[in-house]
Amino acid sequence: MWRLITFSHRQAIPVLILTGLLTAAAGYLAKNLRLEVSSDQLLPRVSSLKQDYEAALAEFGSDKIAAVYVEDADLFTPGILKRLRELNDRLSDRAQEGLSSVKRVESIFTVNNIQGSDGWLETGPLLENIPSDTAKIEEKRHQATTNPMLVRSVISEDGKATLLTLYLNVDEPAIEEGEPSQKENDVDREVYEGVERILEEFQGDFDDIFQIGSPALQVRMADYIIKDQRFLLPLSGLLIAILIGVSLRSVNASVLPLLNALLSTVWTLGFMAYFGIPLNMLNYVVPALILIVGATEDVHFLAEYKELRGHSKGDSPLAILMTSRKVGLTLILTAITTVFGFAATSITEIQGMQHFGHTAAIGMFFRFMATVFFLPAYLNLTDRFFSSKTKKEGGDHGGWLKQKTDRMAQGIIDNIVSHPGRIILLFTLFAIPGLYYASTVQLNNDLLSFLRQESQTVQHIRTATERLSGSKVVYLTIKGNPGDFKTARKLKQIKAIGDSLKAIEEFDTVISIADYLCLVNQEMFGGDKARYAIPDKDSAIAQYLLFFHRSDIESYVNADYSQANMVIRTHVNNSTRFNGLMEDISRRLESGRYGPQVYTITGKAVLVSSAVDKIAISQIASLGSMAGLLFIITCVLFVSLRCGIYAVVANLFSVIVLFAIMGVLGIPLNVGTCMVAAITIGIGVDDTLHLMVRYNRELKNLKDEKKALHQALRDELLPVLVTSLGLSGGFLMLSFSSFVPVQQFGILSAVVVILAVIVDLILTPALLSTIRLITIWDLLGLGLRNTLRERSSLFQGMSNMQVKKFILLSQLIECKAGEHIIKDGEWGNEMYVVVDGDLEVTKVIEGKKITLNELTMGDAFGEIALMARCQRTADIHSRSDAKLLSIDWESLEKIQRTSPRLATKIYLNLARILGARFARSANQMSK
Amino acid sequence: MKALKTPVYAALLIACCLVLTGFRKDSLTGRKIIDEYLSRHGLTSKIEKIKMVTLDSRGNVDTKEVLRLFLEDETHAQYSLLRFLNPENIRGVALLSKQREEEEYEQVLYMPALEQLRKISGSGQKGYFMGSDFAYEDLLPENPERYEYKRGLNDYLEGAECYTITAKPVDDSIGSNTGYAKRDIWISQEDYTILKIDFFTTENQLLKTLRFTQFKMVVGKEGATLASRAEMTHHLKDTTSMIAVTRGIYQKADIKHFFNEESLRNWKTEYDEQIRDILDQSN
Repeated sequence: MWRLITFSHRQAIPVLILTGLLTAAAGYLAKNLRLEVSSDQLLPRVSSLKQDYEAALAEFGSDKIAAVYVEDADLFTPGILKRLRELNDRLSDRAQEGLSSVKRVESIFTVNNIQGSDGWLETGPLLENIPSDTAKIEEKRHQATTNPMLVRSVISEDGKATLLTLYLNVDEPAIEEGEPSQKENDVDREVYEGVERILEEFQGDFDDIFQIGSPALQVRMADYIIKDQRFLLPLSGLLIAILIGVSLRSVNASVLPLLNALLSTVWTLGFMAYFGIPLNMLNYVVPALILIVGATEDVHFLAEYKELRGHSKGDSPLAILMTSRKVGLTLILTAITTVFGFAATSITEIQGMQHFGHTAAIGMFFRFMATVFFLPAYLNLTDRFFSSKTKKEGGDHGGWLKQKTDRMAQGIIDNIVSHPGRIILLFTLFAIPGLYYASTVQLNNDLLSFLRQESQTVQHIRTATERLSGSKVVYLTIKGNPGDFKTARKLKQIKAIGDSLKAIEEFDTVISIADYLCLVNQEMFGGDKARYAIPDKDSAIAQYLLFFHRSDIESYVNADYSQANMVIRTHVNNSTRFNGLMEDISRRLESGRYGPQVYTITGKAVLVSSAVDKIAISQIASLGSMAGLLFIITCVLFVSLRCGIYAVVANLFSVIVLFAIMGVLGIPLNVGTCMVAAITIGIGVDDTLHLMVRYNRELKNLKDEKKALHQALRDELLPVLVTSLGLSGGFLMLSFSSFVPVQQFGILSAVVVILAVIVDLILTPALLSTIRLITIWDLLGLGLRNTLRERSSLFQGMSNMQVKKFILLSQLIECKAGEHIIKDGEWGNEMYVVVDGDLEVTKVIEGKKITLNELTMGDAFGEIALMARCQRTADIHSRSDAKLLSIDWESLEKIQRTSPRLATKIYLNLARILGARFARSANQMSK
Repeated sequence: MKALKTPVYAALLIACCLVLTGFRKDSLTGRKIIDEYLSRHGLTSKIEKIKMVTLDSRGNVDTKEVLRLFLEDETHAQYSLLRFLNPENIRGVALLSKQREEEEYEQVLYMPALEQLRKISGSGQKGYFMGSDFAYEDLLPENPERYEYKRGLNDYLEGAECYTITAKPVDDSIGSNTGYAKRDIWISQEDYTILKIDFFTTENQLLKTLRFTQFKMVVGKEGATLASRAEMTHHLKDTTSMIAVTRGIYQKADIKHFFNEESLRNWKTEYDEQIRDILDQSN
């Protein structure tokens, strides 16, 4: 890493030219970036439900509509109806700009109204001509509000609100291959603007008039995205610039993260355009994230550089080299965790989240590349701006703030590290109720819930829903054999199912082919309500069907009458409740009351709601992968499983609290909030890693956990606090978004970053203080280890790893000069290796103390008792202060089980040592 | 200079008029052309077996067989009877229409499954005819008393030079009973057959197009021809319906007894035999 950073610094001009070319190319590509805000983004890319949906669309037509809602207290008066008719005519005129894709308009002027009385049967539209006298108009109002096919789908129950529905002619299937066509987006905007132009002419003519439907929703969402981009990015940029400028006291330093963010954003947008990833309602925040999250790394880098620039007396290349060596590892590790944190959110079948995950991960990667590639080159050219400031400050980075944080670090050491049990208990007490509240979090995947409830779009939809019917459409398709749904038997079943579903309060309208036939039957008998039933004769059904053009009933029955489709409209937006209703439909159909039925329940709303399960699965997958990554990094860093587990546990505490907050505040788990946990771990772990990498380094230097922790906290507390506050502030900026999931994402992320700081500064040190991270291996030091390995006959022929394994299973014993280590005649099963000091081997023979041998570094002793489990055969005491490695028989057996090759070498070396000792003893005896 | 300008303007005006009138060689008005068409091809009675095929926007096909009877009596009252023959479950469904001078258009529907007659209200004639793209009114012969005809520029249609005529209801009462604000009619200059009709909504939107093809000589009226195939395309619904005359006999005066409600209700087997016999004469 340091090589890349120093290379970029050295080769500043070529690097900047290359950066410029790359950026220009990416900018050129980014021109073709698509904006995609349809609910297709909330659907899984492939699913059996989607296939059902596409099959239903092929049979029964698209549910894509635009609509104009009109309300007036005097709707059924000649003047208002005349104006409404003019509106209907304008909307039906395909020659109007933007309305060429309108297939037909359904309104009180066009919908067939089957009415019968006194032997007459009327099958024309309800209001083809507007009557001039009040009585006739009142009669029409009565007909409209009592016709089950019209009430709540075309006219409100009180006859004061009506809907003009524009069926759009968009090439189907629009969601093929999961990539909605640009054409569909263009059609949406054309239709929306075309309708809006017409509505402007009618403003003030009715009590209320507005546009709803798919084009209005899509276009307004797209506009919100553009508005957000114009607002959020500058706001985030300003915040970051101020924060960095103030903390580093440098204007140049405050500009750099903005430049880095700009470059990486252009690269990301170019990448998206090249790989066909559209800008959607989630990944549009990625530029802001690049700015916010990426700035933290720049702060770490620039803070170090600024300080080292001062230390190296203005030697910029040296300062860059030292900075890259100091922060290089952390930069890589944090880049890995951040990129993986975002990439983990793409472990889902939901397209929008996949796009977000891919975009954010690549964005963070580019951001990292900008930091290690562009930033050093830029620093080379603009160094003089830095140096003047640095000289003035003379490395007094932080000042009073530093003193404050030093005191805080001391406080943590005194109050937290000294009482880890209490801290762990405290956090556990928080976590237990947290787990309960976390379990109460609801799932939601509703597009409408993405918009602020007070927004005009939501208010319009709510009004239309209250007066007419909800915007969620469900297709319940019952399948049979060709001709089945022309028979009285099957249609009576459909009617019974429909009646059962109409009893569910949340369903605003339930319409099937049975309703059409019942209505014809009723009207054929003069409007007798008792005749609202399926006739008994199949021939009567076939004859009634003659009243309908195929297009009138194509949404309800397919061409060969092998499938009947019930169109259900509901106002229920909550995904959990919606899914509950779908299960209710299934239960009713499978109860056996309506005969055995083969059926599918589908519709865009069904697909979107059913994807909530994918959100939950995605949450588990992304959290699991992030926790796994953190575990691996920490384990490798500290060569300790416990350390890895503690790091994960500490970070999961933030996640538990996050879900608890969501549960208490009723914030659902949606495509936005679902990303918080994984991203937060990814970002939160950055600070953990900064702290841990520093702790690890201090451990090696100081060889004392407490001191190392104190030093790590002293060094990292300020940058951790500054970056966390910056991150929180940046995330809080997202709360100004027009999209609720993005707002929730911003607020929750801000909260959780603060939580992560608390965890990093309190729980993590408390947990770490319970682990002995300094091993004998660390204590011995590199030089001593190498000498020992070379000199000891016990380690002969062993690799460094094998020696390490042996040493880690040993115990380090320190002895004072003159201390007895082994006494002749004692029982013992340990052998020793001299690490440091001099020892003497003596034996009392016939009352005389005879020195048998002298032992120095690398010599082994006690091997006879170890192997033979016999009494010690001599006295051994230290002549100077000494350090010994001690290993017993159980440890040797453990090595034998886990590392037979190492055990073989140990036994071979022991045999050599014993052989040599036997030869020496024999030699002495012969003398 | 001023003196020179006046004749120039006059010449230009005349030239414009000539252009606008399509350099007509004759003084045929729209009405005269329609009258000529009716005189040549108008029939006072028809007995036809037709196949009605409907195609929806997804290409699904539905076929029905219908018996069509038409009669215009000496008082110019028009009677029409449509009786479904196939499929079996709609056999016997019949629609009787009567249009007498100064009287409102009457339609009576008979459904054998109910064994009852139902009158269909006046506005019903602009409704779709039994699940097809044809409105009831599309199946009636041209009635010059109910429309005013304006001639437009001549046009070519598939190589044939045509008169173009725009037909609009003569008054609001007729206008309210028709589904179209206007119709543009293409009539062959060669033989005065109607080749195409465009139907427009009150918003001047092209709603449907009817094309006539496969013309055959009519036995019983010299020089008269009749399209044995009519294809209606509904532009807004993207659906098509076709009527193909499989058998037909024309200018038979003795069919009036079929056009009454009683004959609908009690359609007798002998009626079928009579019609079969009549149609057999067409072979």
